[in-house]
Amino acid sequence: MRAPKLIGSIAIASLLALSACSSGDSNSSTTSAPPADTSSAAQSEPAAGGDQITLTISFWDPNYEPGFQAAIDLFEQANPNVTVQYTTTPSSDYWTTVQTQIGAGAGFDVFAMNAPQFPTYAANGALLPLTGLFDTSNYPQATIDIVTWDGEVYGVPNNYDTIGVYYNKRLFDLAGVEYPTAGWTWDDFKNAVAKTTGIEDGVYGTASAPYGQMTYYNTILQAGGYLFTQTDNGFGTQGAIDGVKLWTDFIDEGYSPTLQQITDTWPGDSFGDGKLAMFWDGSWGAKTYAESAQGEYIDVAPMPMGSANDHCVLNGISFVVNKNTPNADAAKALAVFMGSKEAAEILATYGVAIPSYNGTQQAWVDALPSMDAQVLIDAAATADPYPVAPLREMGYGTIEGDAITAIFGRTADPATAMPEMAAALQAVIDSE
Amino acid sequence: MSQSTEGGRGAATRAPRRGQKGRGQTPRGRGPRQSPWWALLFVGPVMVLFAVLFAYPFVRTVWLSFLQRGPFGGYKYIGLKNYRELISNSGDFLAALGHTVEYSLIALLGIPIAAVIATLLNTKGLRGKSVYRTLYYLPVVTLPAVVGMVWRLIYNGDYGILNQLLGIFGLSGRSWVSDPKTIIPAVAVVAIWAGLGTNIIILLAGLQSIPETLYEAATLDGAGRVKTFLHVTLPLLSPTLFLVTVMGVIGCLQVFDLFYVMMGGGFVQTNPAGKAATTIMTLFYQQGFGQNRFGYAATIGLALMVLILALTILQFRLQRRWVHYE
Repeated sequence: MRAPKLIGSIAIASLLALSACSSGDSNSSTTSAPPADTSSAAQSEPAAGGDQITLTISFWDPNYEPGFQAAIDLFEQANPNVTVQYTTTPSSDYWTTVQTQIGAGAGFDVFAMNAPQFPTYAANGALLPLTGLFDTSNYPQATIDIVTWDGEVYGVPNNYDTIGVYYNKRLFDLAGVEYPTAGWTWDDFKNAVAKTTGIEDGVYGTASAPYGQMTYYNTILQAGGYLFTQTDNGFGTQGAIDGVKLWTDFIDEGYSPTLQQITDTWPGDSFGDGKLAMFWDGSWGAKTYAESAQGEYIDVAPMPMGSANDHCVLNGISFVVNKNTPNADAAKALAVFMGSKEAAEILATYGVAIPSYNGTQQAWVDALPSMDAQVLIDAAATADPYPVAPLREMGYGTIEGDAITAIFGRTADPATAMPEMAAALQAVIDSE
Repeated sequence: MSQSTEGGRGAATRAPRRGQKGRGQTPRGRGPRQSPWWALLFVGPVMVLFAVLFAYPFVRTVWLSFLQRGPFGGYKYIGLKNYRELISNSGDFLAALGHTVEYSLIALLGIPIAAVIATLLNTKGLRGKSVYRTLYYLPVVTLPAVVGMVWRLIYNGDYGILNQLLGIFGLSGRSWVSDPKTIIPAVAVVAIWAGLGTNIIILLAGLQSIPETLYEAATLDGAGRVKTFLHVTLPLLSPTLFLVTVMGVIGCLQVFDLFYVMMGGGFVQTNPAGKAATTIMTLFYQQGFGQNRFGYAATIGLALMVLILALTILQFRLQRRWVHYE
């Protein structure tokens, strides 16, 4: 998910070379974790039956706070002996904070988890299993897959995001191209990109953004490639090369802005201003596009059919339970409740995210009357879970990013650079 | 108020009344206020802050450079492995050092520019002095992140003001902060602009401490404005210039925020200019906060500290050649 990075950059701006070196470390030995510390202090008192207990819960996006707080109020009413403290931890600090606190034997009792981070926590035994505490068939399978480790379910799905092809009907009309519909193919997509490019001054057919979740992860899957299994990676497969080449060809043919232009101007902004005919983006962007300058013309279509399928990747937010919690039963109950039908229905009315509980998504669709938002929910049925490397703690970070930047920056060719990247990733995987 | 407290204290400590004796003649070692422990009370808070914010983190950082961090804070002693890695990856470090030096050489041009502006602002009878000073100082009180965001827009390849201005003169611009060829000068220019105010204020203070009589003497001897600047102002300003230079060099070597924000913040990794603009602090940030490799990052931080220390010592050696103390 895209996250506001400004906060992070402001915080970093104030750090000096040496005091910064140890700040992450000194957190673990000093007390710079306010919410969690106060709660564990409260909980360390003997908790006899009927005693008041306090649970802490945290997430990173402030837009969710009203919806989550409303759900928590309901939980507190049903459990009068439990007080829940909700904290928004800024996304730039979220994972560092959570990891450091857990490392120090404390931390939020319940906290939000996403697919890329999950394996690190599960593999290190930082979470309590929740298998059997709730009915997993109430959620899209991919949302369960991304919180399953060695057969145990560790998270209760709360909300998810899928990817769609947002398009500008006005530019399609100008170019005389039919709107995309379910069952359209890569050829239809390429054709629409070519025909809409230049239809107005400075308009591109699409933007080849180098952001995996939004673009090339989906097309790699659609071309029959894969990204990771437990023991290897598929970035060197023909499907992966095809999935990336689809995008780099657009840059070479002048149908997409260059990586420099994309870096200078967020393509979502260009799309909202009518400078892109199509843009692949997550369900999280629907509301922004509906309210953009071109909002009245913007609609969303499902993924086009590649040589293998028309799947997209799904990332989800789940609530997990910290192994350090002194009130395991209450914490588990809270995590389950946050993913329950009741809580999902409340969250849906706030329109910020698609709730994971099957059948509760209508309110989210209704909040977007100008577009066919249902396609983003239907996409979940066939979506593949967000691809995550077996263990991503060490050394992956820059391998994929560096290679993709070179490829999309057109200083490297997918046919040679993708297998090289795959080999470099494999060396890290094999060393673990 | 002062009347009553002074009376009270005077009675208790037999301190001399004001005006009867100079302060320097107050007998030492008498009365409770002269106890050396009082000094601790005043120095104490600073010592505590220093210990907590500098000494402890420094010691921890040195220790950290011998450790490898596990994902949940478990640390493992690995001896000199981080240092060996730094040496075997010295290509990355040297490239970052090269970028940092290139940036510093441009950004440090801000000091002579500030010296000239400060001299002009110090002109006798200049109207609206405080307006100019405010204008030059405004960027200093603006958050670096905000400065970076605004200049990122100015430098935008498609919609930036800079390219529109160039267009008026028939010149074609480029994507200044996502082009490997222009990223370093582009950021350095902003650093000059943003740092001008601080340097001007310090240099102005230095200028104002130069005795007026020297200028009068120079005028009597028939020196023009340029000669006066070169032979009176500059030598007497040299201690201030030295201070500004030492601080400027340290600031340049630690540059991080402007690059980070101007290159796209969280999207910095996919900036095609990224590889061409990795500074030492960027390397440190990537390793430490990007990849949770705090041990290795600490090693990079220490290498930078040694570098800064060496350069600063060198500057203190060289100052004998050009800094004039009265």
